[in-house]
Amino acid sequence: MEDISREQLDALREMVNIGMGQAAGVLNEMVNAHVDLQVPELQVYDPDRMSTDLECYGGGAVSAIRLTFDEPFSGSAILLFSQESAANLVNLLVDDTTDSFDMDTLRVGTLQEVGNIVLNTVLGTLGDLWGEHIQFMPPEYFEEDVESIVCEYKNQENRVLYIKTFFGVEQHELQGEIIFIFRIDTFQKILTKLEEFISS
Amino acid sequence: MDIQHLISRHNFSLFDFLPLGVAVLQNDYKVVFWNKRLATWTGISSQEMLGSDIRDRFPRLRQVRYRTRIDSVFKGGAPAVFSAQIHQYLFPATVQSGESRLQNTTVCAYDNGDGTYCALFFCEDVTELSKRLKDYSEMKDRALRELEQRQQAESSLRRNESKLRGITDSSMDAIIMVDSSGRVNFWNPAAERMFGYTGEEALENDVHWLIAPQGQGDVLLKWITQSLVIGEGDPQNKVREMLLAHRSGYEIPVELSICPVCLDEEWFVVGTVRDISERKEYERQLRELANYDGLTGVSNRRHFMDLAEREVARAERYRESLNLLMLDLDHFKEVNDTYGHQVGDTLLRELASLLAHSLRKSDILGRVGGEEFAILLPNTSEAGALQAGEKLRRNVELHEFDASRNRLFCTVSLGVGGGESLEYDLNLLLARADEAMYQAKRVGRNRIECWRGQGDS
Repeated sequence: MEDISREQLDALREMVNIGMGQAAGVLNEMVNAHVDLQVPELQVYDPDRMSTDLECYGGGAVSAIRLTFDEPFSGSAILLFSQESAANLVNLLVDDTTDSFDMDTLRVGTLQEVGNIVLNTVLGTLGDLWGEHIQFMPPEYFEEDVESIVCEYKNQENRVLYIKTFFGVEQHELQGEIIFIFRIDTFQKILTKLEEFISS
Repeated sequence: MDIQHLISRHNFSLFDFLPLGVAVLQNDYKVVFWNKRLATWTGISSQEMLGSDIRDRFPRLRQVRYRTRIDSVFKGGAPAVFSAQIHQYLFPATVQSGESRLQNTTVCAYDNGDGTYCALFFCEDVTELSKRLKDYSEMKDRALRELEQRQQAESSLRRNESKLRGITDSSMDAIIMVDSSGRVNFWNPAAERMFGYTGEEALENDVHWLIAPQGQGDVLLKWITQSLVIGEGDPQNKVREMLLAHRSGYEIPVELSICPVCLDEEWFVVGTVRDISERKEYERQLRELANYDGLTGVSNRRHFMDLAEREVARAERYRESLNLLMLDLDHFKEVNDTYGHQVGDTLLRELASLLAHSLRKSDILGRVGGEEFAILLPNTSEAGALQAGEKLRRNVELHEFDASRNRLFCTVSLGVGGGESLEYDLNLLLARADEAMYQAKRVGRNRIECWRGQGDS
């Protein structure tokens, strides 16, 4: 059920892009290389459709960072990476600190931080644009197969904002997915905010 | 809001009970709270920290990568996580050994209630945990490497074993290994076929019991035991021809070679057994061809001479008497001309057979010419030889030769070589017997004559 209008979607995309831009800036600092964050795709749909879009991960486990937020907007934001992208990201971000850590711990820590930066910035920007202060929980990192992640939200009371992201770091291209899951009432509020933004 | 106000308004002392290092900053980076644990870790007391700009103590926080994210928390943004993996720590601290403490730091916004925020720094020490994880990870890698090496070694061993087994399985010779007690511990398929025992049946059993012929066990045993004596340790193969027995009892002529082998300080013997029955058969055939006349089956000239020489030497040694007869078929040429060579041949064959059957076991018969036969008679005087010769003459005279259904009758002429005195010269005896025989022919054939000193040649 597409209850978001064309203009609203465009407005949303613009806002997300701004947030991404800022996140890219922060990541720049961390990797000392030019980081490009693109948003080639942005969609809003029912939770049931999530599985289809995430099919590209196959049946395997993915690395995920989840940020949960509350009033006035309730929901979760999840940043997903395939195992391969996760490994590439780690290699890019970590230099010689590997001595103290085994590979697994390294991966978790790195992805957690990346996820933290990206999600914080995007949500922060959205919050700013809407003039709202969002309350956040500290982020969590987990590895699960897509199906397990998705079925938690398969509930008509949720709406999904699906954002495909490309991380370009020098010659490397990594792909991640950001899924925002909003409660229905939150989603309505967001639509209202978007309208305000468009009118102004 | 000034610091004192902040401090009095909020009771941060609860943070002293957390197993974390906790610091609270107001949005100008001035320290509002510095918990006991952080004081211990950094060595900087709460009094020293309170009210000061944290960046003076820890200039690292001025870097963009930290500043940007902390600033966003001061604005009420989402919690920022600084992982130990990327940053190691925010506030440098060491453990007893002097190593740096590794910390995961989470920075959260704390609402002052008036639209401003403080930043709560929670530092989790993961030094010990990281070390353990790393050790475990290394151990796992090592174990996996070792496992791989072991698997490779096992695989290599298996291949080697297969190779060796391929060789021993395909060998046509029986290959048997026994331990120092003579118990079988290796028995290849050729051994199974040769001796009629399967591997399972043979293993752990005494080899002598399995393959030695009746009553021969000791010989085999002795030979094997000798090989096992360490210090006799020349691992050169020793080869012998002998008879071994199949399970069913029948004896197999074999060539057995044995070799002592030392494995893990224990001595074993490896035996290779080749069935030489065929070779023996060929040898026999060869011997036959070499020694026996193809047509009649009696000894040929050469073989007769060999046997006769030996008998003569023996008689001489024991001063025994012996005599020699020469025998010739009468009118053989006419028979050939009249009836053809095939009849002639058959005649000779029948004659030889007749002679052989008429003689004693100790007598030596040989075909020494076309229709000429020589007979050595051990322990026989002149009179005895005469008697024996006469008997032969008579048997031939009376015999109806079948000779391809022609029903022939034949006679022979004989000569006795030995006289009254003992003679141990074979050639002399032959010459004399020959002369005597010719005399018999001259006088009328179908008779026997003794040598009468008609002149030695």
